[in-house]
Amino acid sequence: MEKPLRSKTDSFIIFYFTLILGIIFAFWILSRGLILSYSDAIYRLSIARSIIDSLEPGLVNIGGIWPPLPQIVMLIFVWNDFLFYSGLAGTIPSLIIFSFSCVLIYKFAYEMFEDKKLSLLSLSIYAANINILYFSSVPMSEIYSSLFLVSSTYYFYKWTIDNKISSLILAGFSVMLGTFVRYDLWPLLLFFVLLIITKFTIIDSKIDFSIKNFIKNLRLNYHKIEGVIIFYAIPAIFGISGWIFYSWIILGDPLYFLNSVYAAGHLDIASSGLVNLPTKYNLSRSILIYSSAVIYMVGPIFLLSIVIFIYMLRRLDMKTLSIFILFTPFIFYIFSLYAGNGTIRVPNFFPYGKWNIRYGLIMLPFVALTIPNIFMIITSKIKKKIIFIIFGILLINYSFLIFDFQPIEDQNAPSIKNLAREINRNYDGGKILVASKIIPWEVMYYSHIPYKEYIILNNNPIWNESINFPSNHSKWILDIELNELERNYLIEDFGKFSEIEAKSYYVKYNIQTINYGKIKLLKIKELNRS
Amino acid sequence: MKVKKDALFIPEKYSAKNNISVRTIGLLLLILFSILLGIWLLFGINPIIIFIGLTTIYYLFSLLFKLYLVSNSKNSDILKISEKDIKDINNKKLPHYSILIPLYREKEIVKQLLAEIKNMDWPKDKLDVKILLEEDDKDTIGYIKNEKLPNYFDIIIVPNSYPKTKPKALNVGMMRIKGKYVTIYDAEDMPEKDQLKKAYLSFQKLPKDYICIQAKLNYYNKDQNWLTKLFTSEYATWFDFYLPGLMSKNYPIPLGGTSNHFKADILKKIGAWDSYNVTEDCDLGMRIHRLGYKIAIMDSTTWEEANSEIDNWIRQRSRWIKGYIQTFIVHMRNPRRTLKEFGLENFIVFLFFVGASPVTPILNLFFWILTIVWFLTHASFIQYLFPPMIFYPALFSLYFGNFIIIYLSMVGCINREFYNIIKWSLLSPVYWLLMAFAAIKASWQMIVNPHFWEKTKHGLYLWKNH
Repeated sequence: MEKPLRSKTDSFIIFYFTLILGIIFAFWILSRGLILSYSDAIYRLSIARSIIDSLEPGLVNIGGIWPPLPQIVMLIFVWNDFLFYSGLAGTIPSLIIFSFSCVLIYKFAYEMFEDKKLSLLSLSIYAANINILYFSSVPMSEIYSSLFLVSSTYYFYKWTIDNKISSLILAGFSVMLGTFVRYDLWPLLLFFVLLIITKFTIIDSKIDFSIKNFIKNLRLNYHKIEGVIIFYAIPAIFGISGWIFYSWIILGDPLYFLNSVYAAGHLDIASSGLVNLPTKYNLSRSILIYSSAVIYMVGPIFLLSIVIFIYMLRRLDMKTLSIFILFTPFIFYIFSLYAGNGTIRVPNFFPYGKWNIRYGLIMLPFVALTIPNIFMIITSKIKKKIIFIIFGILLINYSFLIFDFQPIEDQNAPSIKNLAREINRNYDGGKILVASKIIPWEVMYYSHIPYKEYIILNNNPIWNESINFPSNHSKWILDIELNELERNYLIEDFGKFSEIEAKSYYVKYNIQTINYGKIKLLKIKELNRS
Repeated sequence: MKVKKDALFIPEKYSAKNNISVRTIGLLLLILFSILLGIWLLFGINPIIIFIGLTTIYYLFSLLFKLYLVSNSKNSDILKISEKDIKDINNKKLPHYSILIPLYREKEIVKQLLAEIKNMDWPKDKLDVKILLEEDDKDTIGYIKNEKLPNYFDIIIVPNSYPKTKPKALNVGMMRIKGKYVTIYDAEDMPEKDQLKKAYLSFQKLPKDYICIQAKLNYYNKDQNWLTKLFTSEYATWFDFYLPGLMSKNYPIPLGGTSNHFKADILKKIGAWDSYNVTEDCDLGMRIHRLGYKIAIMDSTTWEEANSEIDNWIRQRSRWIKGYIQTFIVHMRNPRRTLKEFGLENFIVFLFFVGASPVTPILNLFFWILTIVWFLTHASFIQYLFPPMIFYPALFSLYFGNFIIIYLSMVGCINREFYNIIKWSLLSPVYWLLMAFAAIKASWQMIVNPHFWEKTKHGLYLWKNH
């Protein structure tokens, strides 16, 4: 049995090695112009930037739809124009987060297997994955989710071994930080609570599943279970309630992320173009679609990891249960697809596409930490060698997909870039009123006009006043026409302003129209007195 | 040596005997007011906004400093003495150990302490117990005299003179002790059996400049009611994290009221306790540090009785807070000298732990009222007082700051494996509210009756159990 004598040195080496790996990959991504392929990347950068560059700078601009942590981290770099417009303002923190997640994957594996080779195998499966490398190079939240999923599970597992308060605190705070990254991580808390109960009632009593034993241990350890659950869960509850508190104080609605027109459910449906979700109330299809997404993002070894995991379930211990925690996003997404709360498209099944296929990536830590267990199951040395070779080939093969790598690009991106350039060319100063509750961050971003020149929904009451009397504050109007689907789903929420009302500007004002299809740029020349 | 009526052995300038006058307070307030008014007139900034801004900075500093102490607490050399170390002690080589037990109207509960003392692991021929009884407390005197105590117990009658405080009694007792080391136990205390030996071994292990070793304090009646639960969680954090954190950085340590073990000769040399200070332990802790000596925290607990009644709790806490104010005034009579003796870092710690402690609960109350008013009325004047530069840090402080402090008290509980108390820590804001009332009472008493010793009623738990 190896001892983690050099664990600090190992961590140090892994951190810098994976950082260099990430940097090389990021440069490659940058050179191919793929950093901002996802429109969400631009939104996140823009939200961060608007905290310091907007008509009314301040934390209020962090909004209430996405949990704020990635945007707050990006805040460190977005002030710099080069870093902001290149996307590197989001890439730099993502790379660092990636390296931390690699260190934790290694430490977690070492804690479980007490074997450096197997720990390195876990690390390789994780760090050599082309998609995790991609999402470590872009201003998205995937890598943050991965980090906090791993760290919360790792420290929890560590606590079950060393019984140190510090491990429990770190586990609790990891969940808390996770709640500030993605709503998908909120249910983690529930699973951990169940795990604590299981630990004190079943696992610690030599795995006795009888109800009698369960009740006996529950009574015996009641205060301990209660205390540990509260102590562990309170940071996460605090994180969740903090976000609700913020929404209440700043945005006026404690459930803004659910009720707003930007709520994920609304936008997913509107943007995906699907009215009837094929996975809704169809469990097998939900499983099929999400499994395909995972295989697309993680690779076919996901299937092998499932087989190994099922085998591991024969022995219910903290190791297996911790790996189960890493598996819980699978349950969450299937439930989400089944309930019709979101949608994912995969290339092989109707409705074909890659919409939200990236959600499959969250299963990578599960795969990375499950696969090495096969060496704990198979003990023969020859078999081990053969399996190692097979994995080597699989891994290298998968990593070499890099040469065929093409992330999902926003189909509208080229036209938006052209439109933004045109706006920039025509723009000769003055405020631009965005006459829609949709904030066209991509257009604003690529226009390279400072955000403080735009009057957007966030700038109430100026925005409200400008909608009725545009010339009071603005010289330009950016009029966004909604497509039919968006109208169907969003028009009620969007209130009084619509393209129809926009036409009233043509009556009220002497307007020069620069038409870019869906988006029109209107220049207010003077008030039409007639 | 002839003992003065007030048993004060330190120069008056280091004592709380002379209180700050109302005139001085008025003058200080006038200066402060003038400065703020000047800022308003010269720079056009509302002094209330400046005040709120400074308070926000203080809150953030306070939060970071507490986290810093907690993170360092586990690095401190909390003296861990093994059972084997204790077994290996040659009893014949042990010196005399003195124990001071100040009592006042506590005959009902002293029995348990006397039993604990008799049971302590220290050769009885080298034990020197001084029971300090107040001249006017005929009941307790009668009770003790009837108790047939072993010959290592001495009864000392403390003359009925002003001030009528515990430190005066201790100083009277101090003149009669025989021990090389001395410690104090209150009537309701239950020290761990081997505490004296642990303290003795700790002194042997530590460098010579360590003249005091504080045992940890906690409560045996933690489950009595919600107040004792919250009191317990507060103490668990204070003695298990904050004080060890202070010790790890060699910062000045405000001592706890009992179970502090001293080298007797040096304690006498530095003038022992200030008879006029109602939180004499805190003052002594500061004085020890200023004089270049050190204090250590040892891993032994004395179990006390937590106050279980609100009015009684407020009385006790208001006395503590009043004593902190006294201590602050005493050590700030000559700030330059205090700064020089402490050094800048320790001086800041002193300002934070002693100076700010009485003010913080009142400030908390002010900000909570402001927050509630804002939620109820959305009054624009409150928004005006919080411009964005102050609003966001203040919001952070309100939400994160309070959460972290509550969480730290949970850490204290889980560290002691007080699992059933963890959930009660969530009620800490209620406890802080009581602190605010105590602080207001203390501030008022500081003006009208500075040396008055608010006697804490003990034995409530025992009576209930009987």
